[in-house]
Amino acid sequence: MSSPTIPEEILEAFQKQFGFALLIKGTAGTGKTTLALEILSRAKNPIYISTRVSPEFLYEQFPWVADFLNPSNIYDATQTYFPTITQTQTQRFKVFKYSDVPNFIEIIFEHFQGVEEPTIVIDSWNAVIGYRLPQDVQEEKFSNLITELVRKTNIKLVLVAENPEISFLDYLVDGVIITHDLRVENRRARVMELLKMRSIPIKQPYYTYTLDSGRFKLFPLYKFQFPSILLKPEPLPDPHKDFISTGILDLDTVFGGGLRKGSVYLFEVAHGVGDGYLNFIIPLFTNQLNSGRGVILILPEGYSAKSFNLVQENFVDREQFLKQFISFERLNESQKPEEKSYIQPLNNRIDITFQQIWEKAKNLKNNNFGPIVYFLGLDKLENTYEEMEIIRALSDHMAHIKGSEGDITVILAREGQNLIDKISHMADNHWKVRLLNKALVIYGVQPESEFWLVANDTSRGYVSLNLTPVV
Amino acid sequence: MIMASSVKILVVDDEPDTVLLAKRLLEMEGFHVITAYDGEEALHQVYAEHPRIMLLDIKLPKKDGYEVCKEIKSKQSVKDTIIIMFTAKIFDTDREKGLEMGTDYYITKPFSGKDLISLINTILKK
Repeated sequence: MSSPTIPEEILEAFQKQFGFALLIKGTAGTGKTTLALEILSRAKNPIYISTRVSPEFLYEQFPWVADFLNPSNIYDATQTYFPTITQTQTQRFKVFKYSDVPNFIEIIFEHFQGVEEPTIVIDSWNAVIGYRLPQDVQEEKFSNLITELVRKTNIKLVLVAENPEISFLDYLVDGVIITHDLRVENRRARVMELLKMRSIPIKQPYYTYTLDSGRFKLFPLYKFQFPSILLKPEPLPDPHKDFISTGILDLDTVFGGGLRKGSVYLFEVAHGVGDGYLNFIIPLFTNQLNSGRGVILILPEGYSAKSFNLVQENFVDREQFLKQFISFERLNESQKPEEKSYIQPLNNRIDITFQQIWEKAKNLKNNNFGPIVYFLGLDKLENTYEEMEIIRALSDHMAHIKGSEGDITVILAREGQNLIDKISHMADNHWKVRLLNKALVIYGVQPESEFWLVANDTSRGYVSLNLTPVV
Repeated sequence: MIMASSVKILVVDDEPDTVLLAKRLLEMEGFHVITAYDGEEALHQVYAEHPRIMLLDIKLPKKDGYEVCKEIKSKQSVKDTIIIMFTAKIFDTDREKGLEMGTDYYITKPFSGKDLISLINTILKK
């Protein structure tokens, strides 16, 4: 499912029959104009009044605007002292000259009262107010006038303001949005704040967004999701001879070419993510099996091989699954005969468990199912064995895979587990998955990376993801 | 033996990914596929195109799957349309309500592409 570009709350407000005045404010570079243009892109009659930048610059900076905004609907209200560069350009755009602010409002009223359902962006309102406001007239009066105009004429108005402080205008308009550029864990996090939306319930007051590729794209509540129709994926080829594909094209790119052979990856999942991290794990082991290679798992608490019935029934061949998949589990119930081939009991001693794991890996490799990917759920190890024993066993395992000609270990840990710091020092890579205003992000702790926003891709019939950088 | 290309199937769901997936899957099997994204559009397609089979989601904008099903089954000209209702809901009440409205078959999301094709082929052989 592709991510929406603007919040549901704004869509609802702009679909109403009555006028609506929305104020978008934030510091420079937070995407106010981009958001305003995204809103315009959905309007029946979009009109853009530019008081800051020339219309030429608008097309140059946002080429996608040409798809919905004709030059005849762009008004150059820059009030520049210099003439426009060429005659051709002046003919393309309407020049919006006004003598002062009351005159500006008057012209808007006259120009657009006959237009059906106009949505007008004034970018920026500060520039209008700052331009020749009569000395005897207060700013509040004209802010009041413009919002009254909205109500009387049922137009949709978007005012872009450069000052994020609360002003008189905040009380007059119907909606107020603030765009923030923050630092979270030393990484850029763009957050949109829905401060007020008159008569529209605010379901989510904060949204994480990105300005990737010059578009405003927000990421709402993340929920793990299978596609409605399940199809077997074609295996994704390894990007390089020294790497194994993660089964997700975007993740291969973020990881610098997939998972490096002979490496250990610590995958830490923060509180609240729930099943969200399965979207990374399922494609990896599916791709590994479909590529004719082996997978050995000690799954995290709460999961067993049976938890992945949908995966084994739909995304891989049953025959491949039985030959190449081995899960070590605490066995509390009797096994079906066929399960004995791929579900092995966890031994009470961790050293014996790992010897059995390596033995199984050797057998898989003898049958040409190498290199192997191991998934180890740290919570299950912590709940089964002593901490010092785990560290020793994992050290031995890491030494084992370094000499294994390309095996990879993925350790799955939950934030707050006792052994994370120690394992982070032992692992070659440490990636973390967390929520940012309910959106799912992944980022590198080692090597360090910016946030990447995660969206389900259910368009292919199997579990996959799209990753977008927060820029 | 029925030629798949002679069988017109209408896929109705408000999730574009589901519609596109179903369309791709069914077209690969040779069926002629038409689509709709809400209840009203679905009814329009049924009257205009007379599909043999309809894959219908319950939760739809404008008119839900039950209403669409009820109307189709009450109209002489289109009542023979075979309706496969697909839904994320698994409660018996939904199934019962669907059957009351005239649904012919049920399939619960997520479902396997192979199972859907197999169900359609079984229906066509009857």
